[in-house]
Amino acid sequence: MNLDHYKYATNETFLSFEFDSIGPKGNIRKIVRFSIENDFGITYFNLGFGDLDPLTGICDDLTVSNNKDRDKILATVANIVITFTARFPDIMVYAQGSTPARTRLYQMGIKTYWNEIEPVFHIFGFHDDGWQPFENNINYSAFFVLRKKS
Amino acid sequence: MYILKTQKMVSETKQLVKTESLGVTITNEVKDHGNDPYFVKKNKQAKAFIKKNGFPKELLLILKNRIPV
Repeated sequence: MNLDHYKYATNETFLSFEFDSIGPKGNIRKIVRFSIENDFGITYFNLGFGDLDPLTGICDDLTVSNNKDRDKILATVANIVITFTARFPDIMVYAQGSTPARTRLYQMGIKTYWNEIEPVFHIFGFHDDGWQPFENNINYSAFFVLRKKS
Repeated sequence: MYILKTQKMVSETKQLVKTESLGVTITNEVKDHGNDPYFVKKNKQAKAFIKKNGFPKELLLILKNRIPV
């Protein structure tokens, strides 16, 4: 994916990723965390995304940091998902924002980078009490993605 | 083609290993964050949603056909 994005780092587990958002509000450390879960005997990863509070050392996504770099952040998260699923190609990734507005942000990212994402992933959204293949004109409340076989 | 570049830096107090692979820097400076209360809470929310709504059946079928028995 060749879109403008921040450089990011991970550790040997490949489960936590960090990058810095740089803008008028200064440097804001962003965390993307993939947590392994299992329900009904099915293993999946839950994607979490938040800002690291430098004072407390813990994350949240309730503050609107507004560093004027939303698209670059979305592209960075998309790249992280691509990198992560290259390591774990046969496990689904679940994503849901902490608020409906955050979920719409994920949807915006999928829609914006659809041409880069669609060849790589199966994407499903939850709408009207059911999961369905992602469509651009429907508002979803959660997502599942699975890397396509190359 | 990905270029693997390894750089080892030894400081007085700790050893930092930095590797670049697949376009991402791999370093032990990145913390685990698994026990961060924020992510623990999000995982509980995810489990509650999935317990209620399940998984996309089509994705389960894709996975079933993918993994050899």
